[in-house]
Amino acid sequence: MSLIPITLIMLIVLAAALSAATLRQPVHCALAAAGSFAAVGILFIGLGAEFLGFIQILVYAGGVGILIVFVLMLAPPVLSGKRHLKGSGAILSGATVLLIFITMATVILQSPSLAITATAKAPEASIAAIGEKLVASHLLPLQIAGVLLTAALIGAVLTVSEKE
Amino acid sequence: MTLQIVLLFSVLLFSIGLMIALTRHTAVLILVGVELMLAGANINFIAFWRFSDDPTAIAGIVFALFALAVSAAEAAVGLAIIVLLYRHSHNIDHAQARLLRG
Repeated sequence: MSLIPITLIMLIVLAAALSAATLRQPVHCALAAAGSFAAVGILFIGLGAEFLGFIQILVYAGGVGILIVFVLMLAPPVLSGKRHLKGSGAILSGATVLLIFITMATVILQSPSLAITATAKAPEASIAAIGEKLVASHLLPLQIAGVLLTAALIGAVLTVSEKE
Repeated sequence: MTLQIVLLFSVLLFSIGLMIALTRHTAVLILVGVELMLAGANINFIAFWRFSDDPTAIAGIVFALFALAVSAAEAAVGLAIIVLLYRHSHNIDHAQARLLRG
C-alpha cells in the first residue's frame, strides 16, 4: 500500500469537505461534496477495496451528487444575506463538533490495539468473494436491501409526482 | 500508515459532515452533511477490513455496501420531501419550516 497517494487522497477529501462546509453558494457546496465523494471512492480503491470504490464513485458521486444538484435546481434556496458560519449558533455548533472530535480522537489514540500497520497485500476482496458472501451467507440482508431500495425510490417518485 | 491515522481521518470527515449539518440553513445542504457523515463511517469499515488479517473480515466490505445502498435510498427520500416542502412554502430554509412546531 503506497503511502504518498493515500495521504494525498485523504488531504483531497478533507479539502473538498472543508470547502463544502465553508462555501456560500449552495451549488458550489453540493459540487464540492460530490468531489469529496469521488475522492473517497478513490481512497477505497487505494486501500484495496476496488469494487466498493467503483460502486462509491458510481452511486455517490454519480447518483447522489447529481440528485442533490437537481433538487437544488427544482427547489432553489433563497440566499438571505446571513452567513452560516457567523453568530452564536455557529459557535455552539463548532464547540459541539470539536468536543465530539476530541472525544473520538482520544479514544482512538489511547487504544493500543489500533496501532497496527497494514499488511503488504490487501486481504481477499475479489468480486467473486464479495458475491459469494452476499449470496451465500448474507442473502437475507441482500433481499431486504433490494426491497428497501425499490420501496424508497418508488416512494420518492410518487411523492414528487403531481396529481392532476 | 497505521490504522489510527485512517481512523482519525474518518473521524475528521465525520466531524466536518456534522459541522455542515449543524450550521447550514438550507435543507439540501443539511442532507449533504449527513451523506458526508455516512461516507466517514464507511471509511471506518474499510479501514478495519484492510488492517485485519482475518479472512472473515470481508464482512466489513459487505456491510459498507449495505450502508451505501441504505444511505442512497435515504438521500432520495429526503430530497423528495424537500421538493414537496418547496412546493408547499417556496422556501427550503429549515428555520422557516415551523408549521409543526409545538
